Amino acid sequence: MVTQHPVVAEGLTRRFDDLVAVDHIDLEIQSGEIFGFLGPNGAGKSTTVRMLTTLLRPTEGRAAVAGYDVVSQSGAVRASIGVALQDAAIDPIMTGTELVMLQAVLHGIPRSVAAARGAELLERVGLTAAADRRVGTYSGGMRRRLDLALSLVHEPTVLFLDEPTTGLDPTSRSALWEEVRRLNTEFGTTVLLTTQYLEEADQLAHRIAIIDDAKIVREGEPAELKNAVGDPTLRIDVKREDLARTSEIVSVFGDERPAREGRVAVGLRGGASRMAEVVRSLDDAGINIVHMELDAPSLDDVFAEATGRRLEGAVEG
Amino acid sequence: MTAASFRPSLVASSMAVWRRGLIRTLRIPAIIVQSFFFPGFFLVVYVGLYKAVTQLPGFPTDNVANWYLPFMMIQGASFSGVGAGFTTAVDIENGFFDRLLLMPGNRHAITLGTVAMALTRALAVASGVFVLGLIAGARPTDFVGVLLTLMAVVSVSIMGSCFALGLIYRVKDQRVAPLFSIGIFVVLFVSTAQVPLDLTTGWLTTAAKYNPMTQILELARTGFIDQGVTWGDTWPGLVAIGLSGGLLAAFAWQGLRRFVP
Amino acid sequence: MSTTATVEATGDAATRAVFRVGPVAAMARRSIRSIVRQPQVWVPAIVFPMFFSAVSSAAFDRTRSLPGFPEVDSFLTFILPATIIQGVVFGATAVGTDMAIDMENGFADRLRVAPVGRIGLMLGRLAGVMVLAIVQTVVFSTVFVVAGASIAGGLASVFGLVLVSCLLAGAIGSFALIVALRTGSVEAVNGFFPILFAALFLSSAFFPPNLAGGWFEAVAEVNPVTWMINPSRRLVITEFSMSDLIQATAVSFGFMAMMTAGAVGALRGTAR
Repeated sequence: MVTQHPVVAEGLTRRFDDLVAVDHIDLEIQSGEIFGFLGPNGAGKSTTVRMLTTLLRPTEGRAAVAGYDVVSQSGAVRASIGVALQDAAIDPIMTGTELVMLQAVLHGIPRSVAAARGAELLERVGLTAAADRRVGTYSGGMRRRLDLALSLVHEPTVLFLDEPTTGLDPTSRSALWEEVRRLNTEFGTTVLLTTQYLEEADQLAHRIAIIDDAKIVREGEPAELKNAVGDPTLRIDVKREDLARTSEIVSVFGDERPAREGRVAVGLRGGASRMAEVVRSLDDAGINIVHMELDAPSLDDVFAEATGRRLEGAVEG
Repeated sequence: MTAASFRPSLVASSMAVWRRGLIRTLRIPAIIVQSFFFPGFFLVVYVGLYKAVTQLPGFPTDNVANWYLPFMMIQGASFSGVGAGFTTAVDIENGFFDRLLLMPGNRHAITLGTVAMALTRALAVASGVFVLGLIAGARPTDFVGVLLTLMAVVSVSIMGSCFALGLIYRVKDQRVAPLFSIGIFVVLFVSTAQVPLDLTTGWLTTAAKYNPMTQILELARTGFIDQGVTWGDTWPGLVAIGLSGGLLAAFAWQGLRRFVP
Repeated sequence: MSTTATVEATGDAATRAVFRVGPVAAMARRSIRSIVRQPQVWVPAIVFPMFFSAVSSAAFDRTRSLPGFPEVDSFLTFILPATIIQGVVFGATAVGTDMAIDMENGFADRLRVAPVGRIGLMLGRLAGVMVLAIVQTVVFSTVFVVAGASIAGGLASVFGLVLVSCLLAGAIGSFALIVALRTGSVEAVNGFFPILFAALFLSSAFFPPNLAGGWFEAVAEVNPVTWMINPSRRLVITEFSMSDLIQATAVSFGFMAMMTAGAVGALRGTAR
């Protein structure tokens, strides 16, 4: 294999009967980066991860992880990667320590070495006290942290995290982010994480790909993507009866953007300097402004611009 | 370091899966109780209830415990296979199976380890039932025959697990689990489980004749009937084990191969 | 606290409402519908017992020649009552699983405000499996007769078997309800299944205990299941007799009365 990139995909496609779950995806993840795969539920994130981690065969296209082909060299791929799957697939009857030992032995680590490394990993994710308790008694956050520890037992070069924080409370979420960042900076582990949370992608990822309806619609560094959307978004709430007129008036100042009901949004050309002008125009027309805000572009705007929709679960614009 | 150097052997991976199965089984007392209860209870009941059956002319032993003990050991063994299938069904349901599939080594270690676990359970149950059988009055007539019984127990446990695993690997749905026991029950009972072939009547005579379980039971019983071990009672059982065992092993092997869709 | 007050008030209202037919009929319809819609309950409850009977009659038919075996023209005739009871054991536990599921969904709370008396509530719940028992008895009797069994007492005896199986379904259903109400767990209900099976096997159901002799005969003789099986069997293999009908019915009615009372007690424990 000629490529040096830890994850490469070319025209990667997966069909389930008539449904195209992943449609000709190209990926090139650099060594040592955190790559975010952002998209709504059912966009094809998990299907892509399952193909890259050899849990699902591609229908078309090819992919290589850690330099090995995911179909013809799947064993070598699995030896090089760590995977934390959606919903932390963990047997509730076993203890944390037992699961770490199982994972280690399955990855060819001698039991003597595994015991020490397992203890160290559990300590690292803050589970030392709970190590000998059955996993069934763990909280959601603890399970995810254990899952993360398990995926690290064999010191993988590429780490796949499939929706690592879905369903977690904010505190557990930021703790997990912290750990992922630490792994990345300390060990240079390449991370591919999927998420449906804008903030997560924004906070963690060096580069992101937005996936929607089985296709990658945008790819790049978050800042770069946001800049590309261009003008900041001006959002104006007015009375229902004034909506149409407001929309007409502000359309002079920029292109309309998707917004929730009862609200008008435009990409304000010229930015904040033109706010006063907008207010004046509305005032002249006798429109009473209920609420007004100006936002620099967010990943949500990037998503909206690319798909014409807001991302499910995102703060509404 | 080259990642590929971290791939453990098939034996090591299988052992890990086996060990995990053992932990799991020992943690669920209901599994242990049920594994011993059914063959144990039915041994006691059959020995008490059907005592008079051995008086029928043509019965190869007049000791009812001798007749039913090997069958109950086989029954326990076959249900260890149901357990293997059930554990796997739960693993598939809650996603743990994905974790196993992510092992870098040979994935057939999953099947091997699970079958090994079923075998462990079958041998434990068979030993317990054997002791119970001795207490209930069973007296082996031939030591070599007892080894053959053991061999039948091992084979049936492997075959039962391969059947259940092959099924769940293909269907991947916990709701198929009742089929494990139904399938095994039918194969067990539509045989010479209760009386020798010559004493069966009607449809059962024909069905039992072609059911490999009949030959396997014959093999399992040679050490407990008056006549003792004879080659004539042994070779059909060996053939039955070889053929059906081979087919079921292939069934499970193929099932796992196709598991990753 | 207001909760206690509510319970007491409902308790009074409930006593008065015992004989209110409307809600009980509604409960009964619901429980019958629930069985019909769950083929995974009634299919095995009809197929399994027939499979076992087919196998054991083909295996043990020659034992009819053993001295001491009652005179019957087919082993099927001998095990018809056992088959029916086995079917009822398979089917009737479904009330318990249904109740356990309801409990998981907060049914215990709804009981506090139910406009129906507790006995009525229980009877309504049991209707499904009692109807299933009637169907099972009719199906088994018909199939067995077609397959070579003969029922000496004719339709009168079949009627007797229907009555017995129906009451027994009420008894076993109530037993399952007790477990469900006390534990609220589907697994626990299923876990008690082997006990019922054991009680059936340690009776005269599958083979004449006089041929078994020894400890088995002694156990079977004191097993109340035997007291119900023996008169039922006489209805099938000898002739219809009122005294046998009364004996079999009395035993199964006794079971049901005891178990339903237990279930009502368990329900009271839950509602409090």
